[in-house]
Amino acid sequence: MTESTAAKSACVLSLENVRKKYRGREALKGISLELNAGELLGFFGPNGAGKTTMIRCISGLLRPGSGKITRHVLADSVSTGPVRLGLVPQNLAVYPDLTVQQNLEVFGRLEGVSGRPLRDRIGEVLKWASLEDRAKSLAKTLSGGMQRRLNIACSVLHRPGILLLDEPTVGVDPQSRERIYAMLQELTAQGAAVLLTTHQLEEVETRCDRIVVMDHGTIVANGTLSDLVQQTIGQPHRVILRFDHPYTKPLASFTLDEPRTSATCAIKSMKELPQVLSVLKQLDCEPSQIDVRSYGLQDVFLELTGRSLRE
Amino acid sequence: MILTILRILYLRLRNNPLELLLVFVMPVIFFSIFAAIFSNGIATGGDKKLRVGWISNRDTALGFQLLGFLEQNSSLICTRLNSSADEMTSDAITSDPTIADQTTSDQLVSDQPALDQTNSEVSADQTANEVNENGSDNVQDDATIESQIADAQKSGRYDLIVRLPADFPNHLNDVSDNEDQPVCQVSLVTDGQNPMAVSMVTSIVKGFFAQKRAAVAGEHLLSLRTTAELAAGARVLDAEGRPVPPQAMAPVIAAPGDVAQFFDAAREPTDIFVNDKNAGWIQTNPEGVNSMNGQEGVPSRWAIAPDKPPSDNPTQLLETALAEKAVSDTDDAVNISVENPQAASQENPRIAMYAAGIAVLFLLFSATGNAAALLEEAESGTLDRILVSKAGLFHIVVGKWLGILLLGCLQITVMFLWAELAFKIQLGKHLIGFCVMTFSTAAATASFAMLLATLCKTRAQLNAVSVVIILSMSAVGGSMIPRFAMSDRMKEIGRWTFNAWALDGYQKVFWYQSPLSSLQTEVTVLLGSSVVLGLLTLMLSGRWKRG
Repeated sequence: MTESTAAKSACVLSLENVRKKYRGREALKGISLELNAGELLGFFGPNGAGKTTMIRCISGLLRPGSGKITRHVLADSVSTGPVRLGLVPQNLAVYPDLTVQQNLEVFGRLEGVSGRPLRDRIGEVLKWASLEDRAKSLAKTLSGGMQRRLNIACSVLHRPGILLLDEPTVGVDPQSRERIYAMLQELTAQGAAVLLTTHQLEEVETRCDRIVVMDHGTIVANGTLSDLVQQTIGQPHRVILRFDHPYTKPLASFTLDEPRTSATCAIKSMKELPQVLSVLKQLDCEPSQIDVRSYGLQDVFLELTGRSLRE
Repeated sequence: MILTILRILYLRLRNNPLELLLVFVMPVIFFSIFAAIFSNGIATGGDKKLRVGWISNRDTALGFQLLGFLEQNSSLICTRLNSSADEMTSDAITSDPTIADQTTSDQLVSDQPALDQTNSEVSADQTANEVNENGSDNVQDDATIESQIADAQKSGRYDLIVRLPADFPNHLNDVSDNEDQPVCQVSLVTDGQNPMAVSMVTSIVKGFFAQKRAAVAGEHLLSLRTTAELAAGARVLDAEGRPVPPQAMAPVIAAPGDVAQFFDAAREPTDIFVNDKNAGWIQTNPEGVNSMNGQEGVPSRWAIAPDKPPSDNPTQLLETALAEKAVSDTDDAVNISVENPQAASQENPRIAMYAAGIAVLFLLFSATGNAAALLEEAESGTLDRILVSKAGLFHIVVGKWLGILLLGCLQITVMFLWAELAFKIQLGKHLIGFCVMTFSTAAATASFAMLLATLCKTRAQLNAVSVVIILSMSAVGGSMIPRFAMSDRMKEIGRWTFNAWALDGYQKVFWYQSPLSSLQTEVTVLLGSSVVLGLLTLMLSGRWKRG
C-alpha cells in the first residue's frame, strides 16, 4: 500500500488494478476503485464475490498480489500522514467481559489515543452511539443493537478518515439499523469516507451515495442507483399491460410477449405515463390490468450476476 | 424418537474428529503411558531395579562382602561411589574366618550351606581379598563422604546410598560379645523420594548379616568339633599326611566361649531345661547350664531349646540350633539407620515437589487457555481490529506471551505461597532458586502455549489438542507420577517434556538445596525452548493476518 498527497482532491482511497490470490483461487481480478471523503459507498455482491478479501487488502491485513492501494493525505488535514483507517468486522469484535467504557478505552489506546483526549473522545463516542447509559455495563449484557453500535464505536475513537464496515447491520432490529445509519451519516457529514458491505438491498438503495456491485472478483457496476439501472437495464420504469385473451393488433411502442397476453413498454420518467395511457386510448386498447414498475437494485443485481445460486 | 436422538448423537460424533480423538484415542494414549510406567517403572517385578550406591569411610573385608552381596542381588544395581581401597597393597590378605579358613577339612566345610554361599559371593569380589587383616588404614573423613553422597543424590541416579562408617568391622568376628559395645553400623542414605527402596535394601542387608551370622557360628562349631575330636585323641593330618600337633592348630580354632555371643541371651536355660528330663544332652542346674557332654563351663547362652526331640548326637543338635537362630540374631549384629539429609534440613521437602508437579500441570492448562484467547479474537474479528490499529503482529504476539508469562509466574507463586503457609516448604530460604525456576518454567510454557495456539485453527481444535498433549506430557514428565518411580527409559522420554525439566529444577532447589549454578542445565533447556518456540510462533504468526 502506498500513500500520496491527495492535494485538493476529495479522494481518500484509490485502488488500481488490485489482484489477489487467496486460498488457491483468484479472489480479486484487477479491482480499480476510488473512495471520496464524505462518501458512503455500498459494496454489494453475492457470497464469494471477493468483498471481504478486498476489505482485508484495503485494511492492510492482506498484501495484494499486484496493483496498488493508496491512502491519500488530505490537503486540509492537520496530520501529515495518510488518512487513518478504522475497521468494523462483521462479528462483534469487542471483549464481551469488559464494560463498554473499558472496551472503548483499550481500543482507543491501541489506536494511539490516551490520557485526557481519550477520556474526552470516549464521552463523545458514547453519546454518538447512544450508549452513555450503558457505559459501565459489560458488553455481553448489551442487546444485539447496542453491541453493534459498540462494535462501530470502538473503531472511530481515533477519528479515522476511512471507515470500513463489513455488514454492520446484521441481525439488528429496524430501530437499531436506523440509529446505525444515522451514526454513519454523521461521520460522512464530518468528512469521513465510509465503505460498507451488506446484503440489505434496501439499505444500499436508500442509504448509500454510491453503489459498487462486485462479482467473481471484479467490479461489474459502479455508480448511483439510477446510473446502475441506466447502465444495465436502460429505462428505469416499465408499463406492463395484461390481457385476458391474446391481443392481435399492433401496440405502437409496446412489445408483446408470447402468447400475446402481456405487453411491456419502458419509460424514462413517470411523467411519461399519461402519454402512454393516451396512446392506449387512441388504439382502443383495453387491457385487463396495467402495472407500472420501477427497476431497483435487485433487478440490476440479477441482471449483472444472473439468477444461478452462488456457493 | 429415542433412536433419532441416538442417531443425532452418533452423527455428531462421527462428523467431529476432535471429539473422536478425545473419546477414543485419548484413553488409549493415557492407558499406554501409565501401562509403560507401571510395567517398567514402579517396582512390580519388571525391569525397574533399585539403584543403590555404596560408600564407605574405610575399606574393610566385611564391607566389600556386603558390596558383593548387594551387587549379586538381581533386584539391585549396586554401584561403588568411592574407591579408596584401590590404594590397598596387593599382598594384603584376608583373615576373616568365614572366607578363608583353609585349615579345616573340606568335609567339615561342606556341612555348612550358608557358609558356602557366602564364600562364593565374596570370592567373586576380588577387592575384598585385597583388604588387610585390620581393614584399610586409609580413612576418608565424614565431610568428604557426605559431599560424595550429596553429589550422588543430586545426580538423581540412585534410589538409595548404603554408607559404612569408619568403624565398620573388618569381619564379623570383630564384633564383641559385650552387648554394650556397638554392632555393625550401616546407614541407608535416602533423599526420601523412594520409600520402598529403604525397606527393600534394609531386608537385603539384614539377609546378608543373617548369612554371615550362620557362617560365623558354623565356623565356630567346626572349631568346637575339632577341639572335641582332638581332645578325644583324633589327629588332623596336613597336606602331606603328617599329623598336625594341637598347638599348631590353635590360632585357627577359636575358644568355645567366643560362640556364645551369637545366641539369644534372653532365653535362659533354666526357663527351658529345668525339670526337662529329655534334655539329657545338656546338664543343667537351677543357676543355668554348666556342662555339655560332661564338659564344664559351657556358657549359658548356648542353651537353645531343640525343636525336634533331643538326639543322642549333641553336635547335630547344636548345629540345628545354630542354623535356626542365625537369622533371629541378625538384629544384634547390625544396626541399620536411615538418614535423609534433605529432610533433616527442612520440614517438608516432598510437598515442594508435589506443589511443583501440580503447578506445572495447571500452568500448561492455563497458558494454553490464555493463548486460546488469540483464536477467540481471530474468530470474533477482534484480532483484525487490533491488527489494523497501531499495534502490529509483533506487539500482539509479544504482549500475549508476556501476559501468559506473568500470569504463569503468579500462578506458581500462589501455589508455593500456599504450600509455604500450609506445609512449611521453606520458600523464603529458596526464594532465588524458586524465582529462577518459576520464570524459566513460565517462559517455556508461555512459548509452548503460543505456538500451540498459532498452529491450531480453532479454539475447539486447540482445546482437544492441548488436553491430549498436556495430559500426556504431565503423565510422562512427572506431574502425575513421581519420576523416581519411572524406569530409566521413561525418565528419558520425560526429558522431552517441560514438566520433567521443571520438576528436576525445583527438586534441586527445594530437595537437594543445590546452589543456583546447579540449575544451569534445567534453566538452559527451559529458556532455550522458550526462545525457540517463541521464534517459531513469530515466524508462523503471519497466519493471524491471513485470517
